[in-house]
Amino acid sequence: MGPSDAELAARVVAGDDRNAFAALVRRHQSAVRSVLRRLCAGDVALADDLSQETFVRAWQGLRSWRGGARFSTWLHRIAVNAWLSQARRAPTPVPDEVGSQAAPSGAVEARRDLERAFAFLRPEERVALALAYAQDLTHEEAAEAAGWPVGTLKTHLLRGKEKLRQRLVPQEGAA
Amino acid sequence: MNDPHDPIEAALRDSAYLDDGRFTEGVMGALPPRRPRPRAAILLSAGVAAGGVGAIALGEPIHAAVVALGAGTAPAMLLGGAVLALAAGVLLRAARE
Repeated sequence: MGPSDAELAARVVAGDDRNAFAALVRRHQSAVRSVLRRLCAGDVALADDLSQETFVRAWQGLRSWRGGARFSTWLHRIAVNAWLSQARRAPTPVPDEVGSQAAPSGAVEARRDLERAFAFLRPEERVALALAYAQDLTHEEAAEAAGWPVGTLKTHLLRGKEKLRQRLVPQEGAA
Repeated sequence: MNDPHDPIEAALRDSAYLDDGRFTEGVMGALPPRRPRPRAAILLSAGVAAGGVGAIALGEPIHAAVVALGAGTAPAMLLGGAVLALAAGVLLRAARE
C-alpha cells in the first residue's frame, strides 16, 4: 500500500512535488471520470475535458484542502462545480431516444444507455445519482460533495431513479 | 430504498474501472509551469553581499597582490570583489543543497 492521499498532498504543497500529484491523479482518475461521464450524459470527450479541468483546479487549490473531508469527497465537489459551470454555458442536448427498443446486448451498451439517459434528468438529479453511486463515496460524502443535506440528496435520488426507470425499463403491457 | 433486484439500482452500481490510458499524462501536461524559486535570487544576493564584505575586509592584501602582479588598481579591486562574490555564492548554494 502506497502513501495516503494526505501524505501525497502534503508533498505537493510542501515541495511542488509533481510525482506525488501524478500518483493522486492515477489513484482517483477512474472515479472522477466515471462520475463526469454520467453528468455529461455519456459525452466521453467532454467528460474527460472536465476531468482534466477538475485535477488542474485541484492542483491550484490543494492548499485549501485541510483534510476535514476525504480527498475524494473534495475532488468530487470540484468535479461537480466544473460540470455545473459547463452546463450553465452549454446545456446537454436531450437525445431523441435512448438506446434501442430491444434490451441492450452487453454490459458496455447498457452502461452507455444509462449514461445517455442522464440527459433526461434535471441537473440536481444527475448530481445526486452520479455522486451517490460513485465508486467510493457514502451517501453522507455524496451529500457533502453536492453541498446538500443528506435528505435533499435522497429526494433527488428517488426522483432521478424513477425517471430512469421510466426511460430504461420496459413497461409491462407496453407493445 | 435500495432493492438489489431493481434493474436501475443494479445498472447504477455497475461501474467499470476506467483505464488511465494517457489521462494522467494529459493532466500533468496541463498543469501550470513551475514557479521560479525565490531561493536562487536570495542566494545570489547573499553571495554578492558576502563578496562585498570580503572585498572590503581583504582590500589591502588584494591591492598589494594586484600591485605586485603589475595590474591597475580600480579594475583589479572590482575583479577581486567579483571573484569573492562568486566564491561566496557557490559556497552558500552548496551549503543549502
